[in-house]
Amino acid sequence: MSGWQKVLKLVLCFTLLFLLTGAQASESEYRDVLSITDVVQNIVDPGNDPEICGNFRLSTKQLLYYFKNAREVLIGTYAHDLDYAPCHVTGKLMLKSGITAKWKIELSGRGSIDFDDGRYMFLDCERCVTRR
Amino acid sequence: MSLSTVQDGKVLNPRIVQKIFPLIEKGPMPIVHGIIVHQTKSPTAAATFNSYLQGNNGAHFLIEKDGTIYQTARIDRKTWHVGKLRARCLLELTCKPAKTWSPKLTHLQESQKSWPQRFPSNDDSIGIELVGEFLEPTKTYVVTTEQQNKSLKWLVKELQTTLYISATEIFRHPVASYKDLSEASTAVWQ
Repeated sequence: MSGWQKVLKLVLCFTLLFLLTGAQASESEYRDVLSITDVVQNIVDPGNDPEICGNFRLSTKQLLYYFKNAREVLIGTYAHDLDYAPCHVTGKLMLKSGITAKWKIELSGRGSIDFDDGRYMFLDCERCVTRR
Repeated sequence: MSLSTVQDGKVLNPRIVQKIFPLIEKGPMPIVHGIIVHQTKSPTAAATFNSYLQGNNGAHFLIEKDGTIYQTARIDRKTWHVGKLRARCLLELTCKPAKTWSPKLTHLQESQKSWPQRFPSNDDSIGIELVGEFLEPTKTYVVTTEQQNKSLKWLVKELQTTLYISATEIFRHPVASYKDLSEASTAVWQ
């Protein structure tokens, strides 16, 4: 490998590294939750027996765990592949960056966040909603 | 009266374009008890065809937004299009919900029942997909087009006549399985 090829390879490696770490930093920004407010527990979709989900509630601890650890999924996966559940919890949150959002988490672990900067996030974590 | 003929599981009719994907066929299906109506997550037929080439889950028919009907699997072969079964007795108000929410357990229990005590499943149903798309802001599937509904109505009638399927055995996907409630909610076949 000639000298200029080595230099080119190094430049490419650094560019790739920069892009990757840059992307990770911006992704994690959306997981840094500062506060959770306006939580409404155990909302049952119309037409379902109110007892069907056994009073589905999520504590602040569970919510923080969910927002930090749930797997981000593509919109198609959220819509088509994950289980729908007729009970959910909703609320609002604020990130450490100041961005606010509305969120919804279903008993199946399927969740979505609408950030006020126009970004949508779709999440999945069944164990997050069942662990105490 | 049906004008279609069935040969080797293919419904032969000028309105149906044959585009069989052998990899989504998952074994023989000797009897058909019902039809499940779906919507795809991808906005184009091409994206769904690409997925079918990988042998993923799939359905027997796909209806494009312009109303074009493709047959994508033979009707005497199973495809994986239903997913976990919901309890049919809940819809018919003949049972109470289980005390613990568990789609997996419900599916296992339902799978042990015979039709019509359970919904038609992968073992005995035809799947019809309508090309759709799930919208971020509303978190709902797009509204089906008029052409799609016209084609769906024709296809359902054709399959009912050919396979002797009762009108009570045609369901939107979220009725039979744990799927987003907006899927196929605007599909019309009656």
